[in-house]
Amino acid sequence: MSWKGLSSALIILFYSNLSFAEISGWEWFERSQSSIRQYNFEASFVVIKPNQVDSYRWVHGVQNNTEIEQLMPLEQSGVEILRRDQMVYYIAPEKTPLATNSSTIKELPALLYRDLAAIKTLYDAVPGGSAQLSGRSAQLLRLTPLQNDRPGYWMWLDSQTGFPLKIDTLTVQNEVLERWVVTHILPHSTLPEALNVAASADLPQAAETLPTVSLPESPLELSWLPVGYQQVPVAAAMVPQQVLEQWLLSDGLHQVSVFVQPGASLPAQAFRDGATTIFVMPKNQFDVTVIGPVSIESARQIAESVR
Amino acid sequence: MLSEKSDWLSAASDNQAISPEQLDSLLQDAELQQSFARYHLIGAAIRNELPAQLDMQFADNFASLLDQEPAYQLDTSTSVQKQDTPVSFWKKLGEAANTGWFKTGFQGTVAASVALIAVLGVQQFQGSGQDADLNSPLPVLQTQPVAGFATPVSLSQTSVDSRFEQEQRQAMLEQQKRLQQLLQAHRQQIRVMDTAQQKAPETPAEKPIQEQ
Repeated sequence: MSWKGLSSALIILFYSNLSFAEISGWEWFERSQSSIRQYNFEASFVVIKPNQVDSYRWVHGVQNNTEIEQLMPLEQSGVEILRRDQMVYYIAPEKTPLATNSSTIKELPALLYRDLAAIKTLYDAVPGGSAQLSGRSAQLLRLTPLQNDRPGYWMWLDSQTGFPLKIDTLTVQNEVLERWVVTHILPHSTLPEALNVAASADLPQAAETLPTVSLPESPLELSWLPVGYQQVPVAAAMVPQQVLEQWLLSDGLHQVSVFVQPGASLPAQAFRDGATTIFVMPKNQFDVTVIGPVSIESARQIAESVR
Repeated sequence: MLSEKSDWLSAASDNQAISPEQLDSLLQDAELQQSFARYHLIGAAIRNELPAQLDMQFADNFASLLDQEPAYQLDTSTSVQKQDTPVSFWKKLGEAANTGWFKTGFQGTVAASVALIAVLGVQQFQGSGQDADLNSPLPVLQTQPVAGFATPVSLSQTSVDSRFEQEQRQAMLEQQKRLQQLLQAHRQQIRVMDTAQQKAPETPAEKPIQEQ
């Protein structure tokens, strides 16, 4: 009798272990991150914001262990973003192309490319149920922020490959701010033909297009940063002319810009562009503008801390 | 004499000035009045201004027609009686709308309801989608102000000089343009972030915090 009970207990234990041993949240996440690096594919996706929808064509391929990736906003003709391994090129008609050292195209969801360790310090990954998305079975993965100030992410990943099919950016109250949805995907076994030209094209070096200018020293300072954020250097050449000071803050996944301009004597205002908050506030004789995926409260606090 | 008489009468019917004596004679002489009316009729005929039907007894005929109409019995069912109330209410409202206190009050009401809608809009923006189903369509939001823009609701608000309003709107537009530029600059910085970091590894990242 007791033998029977013990064996059934063992069996139950075994099965429950097995179910726990199913892929964990972070494993799903890793799978998703590697899928977009290793596969050859052509895809289209849309970014849905409350008052606008942007669609993109996205082609990725691997050749001789080098990644080639192309992103084209479909509404802006001639604009093209191209990445060859560690170099990203922004090409637009009638503009000198911008070349920059980076292993990611920043217009793609940062979540899919950023260092896993950094994301783990900010988020908790919990797998949810599965759903049908564009005719495929998709696994839901919820990334819940460890601090309340960050947006949450719900990702739907292809059950077989881990390829991201949909990413929602949400507020703490699970209100959707921005939605990224793959509308079409076509896998290739080799480098997609569309990338053949890009693979061999002669492109400029980063140093040629990014002059090193330093901002004039200013007495202004930021005295408060949101938890987890650090100041990172800004490219002075990119700072708009009428801006007296710009700071860039990063937590490894999100970036927040702070601008100081001469005051225009307007009241404090806040706007939202998808997940990005735009907060402007008069401070002494200046206008301080905070742009980034933070809550209005945090944006106000950052702006207040300028002195 | 007759021709002389008809001269000034004709002139008078053509809107020419007449002397007080002539006016007196016109007012007293029935014959003159008749010819004055006739001149006007002739003038109207020449100018093609004659009414379609010159029936002087039109009003009388109409009254007799009305008399011949069968009298309809008014339906006294409740549904019809109910319709009566709003009509009289709107009529009253229309009369009242022109009195001073009502005008002010009404403007205040309009301003208050606009403010209410604005507040509700913001609340909806903040509160919507909390428990929305995953597959439900994205709530339609504008890149809208979520704070600021708080204009006081008061009676003086309705009499703000429109020129000032326009200036303010202009300033707001410029502000939007400026913010758009900054948003672009923000995106641009993110694009070159990695390069900038490689270029300036010695830049102290803790520069702002050392004050604290």
